[in-house]
Amino acid sequence: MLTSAQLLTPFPPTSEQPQYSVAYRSHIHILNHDALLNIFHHYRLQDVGSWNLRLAWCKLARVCRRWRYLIYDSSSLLDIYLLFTNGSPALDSLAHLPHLPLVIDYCNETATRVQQDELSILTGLEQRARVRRIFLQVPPPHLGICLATMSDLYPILEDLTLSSTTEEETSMVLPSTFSARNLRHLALQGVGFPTELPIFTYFTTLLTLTLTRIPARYYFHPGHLVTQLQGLHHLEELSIGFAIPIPLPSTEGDLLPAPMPRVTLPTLKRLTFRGVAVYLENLVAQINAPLLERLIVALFFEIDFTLVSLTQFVHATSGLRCLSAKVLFKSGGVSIVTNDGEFLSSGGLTININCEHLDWQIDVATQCCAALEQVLYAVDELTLELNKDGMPSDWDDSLDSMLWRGLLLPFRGVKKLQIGSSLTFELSDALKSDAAELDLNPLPELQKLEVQLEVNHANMLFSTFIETRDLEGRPVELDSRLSSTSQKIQTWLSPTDPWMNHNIARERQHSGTGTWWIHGEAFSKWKNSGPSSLLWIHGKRQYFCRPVLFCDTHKLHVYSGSREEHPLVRLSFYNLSPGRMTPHRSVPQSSRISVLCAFGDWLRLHSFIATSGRTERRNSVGYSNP
Amino acid sequence: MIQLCEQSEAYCTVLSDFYSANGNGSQRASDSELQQCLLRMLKLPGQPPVYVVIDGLDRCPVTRGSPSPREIALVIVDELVKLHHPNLRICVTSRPEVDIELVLRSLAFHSVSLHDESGQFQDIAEYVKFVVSTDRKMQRWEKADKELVFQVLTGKCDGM
Repeated sequence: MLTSAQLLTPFPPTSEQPQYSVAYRSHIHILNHDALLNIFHHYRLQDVGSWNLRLAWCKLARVCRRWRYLIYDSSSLLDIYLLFTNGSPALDSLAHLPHLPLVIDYCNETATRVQQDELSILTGLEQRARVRRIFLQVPPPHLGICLATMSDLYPILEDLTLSSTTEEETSMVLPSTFSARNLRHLALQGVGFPTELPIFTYFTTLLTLTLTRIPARYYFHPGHLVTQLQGLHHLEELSIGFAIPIPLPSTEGDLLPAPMPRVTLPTLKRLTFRGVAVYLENLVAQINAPLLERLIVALFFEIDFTLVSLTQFVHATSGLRCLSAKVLFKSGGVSIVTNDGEFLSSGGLTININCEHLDWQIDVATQCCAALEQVLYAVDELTLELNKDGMPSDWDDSLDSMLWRGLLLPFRGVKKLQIGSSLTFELSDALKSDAAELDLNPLPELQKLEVQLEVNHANMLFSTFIETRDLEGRPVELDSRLSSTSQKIQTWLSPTDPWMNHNIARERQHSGTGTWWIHGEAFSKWKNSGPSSLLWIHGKRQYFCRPVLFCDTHKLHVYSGSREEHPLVRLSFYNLSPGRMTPHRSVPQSSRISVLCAFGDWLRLHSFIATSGRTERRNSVGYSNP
Repeated sequence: MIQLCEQSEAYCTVLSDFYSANGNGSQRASDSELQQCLLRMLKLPGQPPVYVVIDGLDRCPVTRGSPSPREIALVIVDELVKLHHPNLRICVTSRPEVDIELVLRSLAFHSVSLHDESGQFQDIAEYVKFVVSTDRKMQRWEKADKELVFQVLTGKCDGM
């Protein structure tokens, strides 16, 4: 005789019966609210695109009064909002619906199309108390009209992106009276940020701040920026980009001294900058970013670069360690990328410099690399490539081999050099040793040279270099295994590099973990199993109902993430009133602990505990502010 | 496919033919054409074992297109399994989302639930212990608090 609990838990599907068998049926009204919300959530996941765009949730809300109330009461949990996008119905036509949050999402390049939707956009923007997200990418005149309406408080706004569709300089600026106390993402592209608007007062919850294509008239001094940033304790991504090279060389003198002590940005993981080198130097001289994983810099062309502060900044930031580097010459500029910038999840440094002629590109790259010598000496693998698309046909005319040797000099620790097919001849010439230049002998630690040529051809081109190194007792292995056809196929398929993520995971793996699996029976059985056998490794289903975190006055979080550079466990403790930190020994009885832990990039568990006892012991914990 | 080519000339020949059939790279191959080429490579006789690992299948989106990328991926897994290739082994890691479970449960030769594995628990306990005892910021904590963190994290992690 089966119990009711056994009846409610169906047997898992088998190969003979792939569907779940229904052993027990009941009316749906026996399901409690949590169960219903889980079902609604799965219904939403079946077609997320239609959920808000086509009001798919209305179908559920019409079933019965209980469902309707439940859905309206759980709009945040079920991610329900009214979406205003290109060609969607006007707000008036949805007046019969409850006052749900609004999302305004318009992207139009043409003024005519925008004109048709302008009334809807403006009506939405005027509903300040309901707007949760704004994304507007429209031509300047229309964006200016929208900006004029945004001169007030948006209490629930979380995400604001305003982007001008033109590259031309405009006078558009965010109103200085605009405020949004719950803003998490702010992006202004081609729109000025008023210097009189205090970010650290009105936007303390920001996670990402993007100010790009900043018009010249809204230029701000790096010192002003740093002052604004020091109140943003949760900021993870910062992008600053100027539309033109500013300040002009004549006024650069104002930026040269770095006057203030460094401000720590404790949660910053990604920093992007576009502008002139002297501004960057002044900015990085004033900040510390201990958790920074990626620094992306785009510099306007200058004849001379000074990057002393940048070198110190990179050197002091462990997440920016340079293990490999690639120098890529292409139409429009040169890029220096460490730890392969194509994989944005990995840490590293990217420097792009706008510049046309190849000899200038080599010169600025040499200057940059020489300035960063202290951090580049740790590079093990170096790749030099040239993308000929868009380059002038005479790109290789009158190139001095000494230019190349100068570029290679800062890479003193390189053990493996990869040379792209377009640069093989240039580099083979540059690597030929000359007795007079022994003091400039590049790549002293080189052990392997990889070129994309047929073996015979490669041997012929690099024989002098290989022989010289043999005589010096520092042999170099020449690897030229790629034939031209397989190289073309590889370019055609452009596969992703699986080793990048593999290596990152291996680096972060705690020694000894996972051996139970490698040496376990299941793994061994699978390796020796029958035809096309499938092994499925799974965790638990993602929790849908997130824990309601805290209603109390004080919070105490303990959380970790294996993908982040955060420590496994970190304590942060703060008062809900902004700017008022409570001393750590005065935690009240109502304090709670939440535990959020994540072990693995595809298995993530949010577990939660709320405890009420043992307060005394927790009170003695030394907390650190976030 | 590139990785397979590095293993054997026979694989290279199949891929090279495929490249030629697409105008020596002047045409872009569709996903289904690429899939067919992979199947042709896998069907080659006399090759050493091939291990296909698909990590994080649940991260494959279900929201774009019809069929969605995840549905396409599941169909590919289904086809690979039904190929009954003697030297092919497939490993998929994912959360047991409903749609994934529906397909994989019936196809899997063996499935492993990580949160039921004692080795996983031990790994987590080992790691938590390591961090709690070595993290610089936690050195100021009292022993009892470290113990509480260790107990809660290992006790409530449920294999994750």
